[in-house]
Amino acid sequence: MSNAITWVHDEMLSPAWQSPETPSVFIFDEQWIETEQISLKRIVFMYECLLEMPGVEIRKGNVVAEVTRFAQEHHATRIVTARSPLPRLKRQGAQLATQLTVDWIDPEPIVTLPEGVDLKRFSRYWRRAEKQVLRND
Amino acid sequence: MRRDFENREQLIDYVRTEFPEAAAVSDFVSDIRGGLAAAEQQFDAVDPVAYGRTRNSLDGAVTGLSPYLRHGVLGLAETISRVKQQVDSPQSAYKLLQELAWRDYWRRVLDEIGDDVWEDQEPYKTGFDADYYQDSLPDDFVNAETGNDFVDGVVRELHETGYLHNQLRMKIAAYLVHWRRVRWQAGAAWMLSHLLDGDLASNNLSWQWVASTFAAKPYIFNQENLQHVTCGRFTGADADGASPFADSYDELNARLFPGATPQ
Repeated sequence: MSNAITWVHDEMLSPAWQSPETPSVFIFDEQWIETEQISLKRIVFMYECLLEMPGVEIRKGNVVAEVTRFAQEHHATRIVTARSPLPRLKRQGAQLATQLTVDWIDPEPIVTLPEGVDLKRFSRYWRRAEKQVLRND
Repeated sequence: MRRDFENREQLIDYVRTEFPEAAAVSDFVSDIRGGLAAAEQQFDAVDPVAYGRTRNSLDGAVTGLSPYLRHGVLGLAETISRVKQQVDSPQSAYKLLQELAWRDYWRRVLDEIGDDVWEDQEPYKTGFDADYYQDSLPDDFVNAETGNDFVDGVVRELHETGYLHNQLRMKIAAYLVHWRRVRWQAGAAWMLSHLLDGDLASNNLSWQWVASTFAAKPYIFNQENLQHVTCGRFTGADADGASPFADSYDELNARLFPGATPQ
């Protein structure tokens, strides 16, 4: 029996993030929907994405509470999820990490940049990124 | 929650019942479908070379991939790699690859600044302090009742479809911040609420770019450019036929930013 679950969040609505042996859950974040006034059409769009991810259980409510509950139901001690720069997801991940082990999977990078690179303007980023993005695969 | 629906209407009815607060914000549903099958269909229609030539026109070969990229239905690296496979040399897809890289750039900035993405990254270069701008959206704007065909048309399009061409996003942002003197944060929050591709990084930092709090100068447009880019779909005129955009760039800059330091 697996001791991990996949926490599918709103930046990973693709079957590519699913693994058949790991139970997966997506939570519609009611606090986010309320505070950011997310409109019906966005939720329908996200729901349609989820319907093409057959193994994912869909819930709504408080994300941290629901992911924790789902992990308990599956006797899991580990949560696998995709790393994201969204502060909301970082906060939720940090809260989950106080109770369970969270494995952040990095989406495949498009460029590799040195630490502390100056991001003040796109032109400075692009000077370093251009060759990597344009190279022949 | 349920996963068994006979058709889209059933799903929409269910979502409306389960999320009454979202339906209260706006009850429209987009024709743009979610899911990998729809994303693949959209990707098949991408023409990287035509994109480079025509993307700034409303009739141009834009990709429509943003809702799928935003939600990870399509991965960014995978998309870049597939775009390159479609062309003889990556150079012929330059513009599209660069626009895809913008997404990576915005995300890196967000990763660094976090919640400060809601704060001005720099002072406005408009000659006005941040305090000068009003905090909330004007009612006539959000109700699409300004009488200006461009403004009302774009507001309705966003509310009904959850999608806007990038030129319309930039221009409606410029209108709100520079013609109506509204803080970019109010406009950014409004767009996030409606866009299917609503993305904190691209959205907020692009608003800041238009406002000039993340750029060297404010972005504006004039009526001639509006009509050209929108292929005549909008006149940019008010109900009385006059247009707030009907001037040269020099005249508009002088009128909109009288106290700005000349560039």
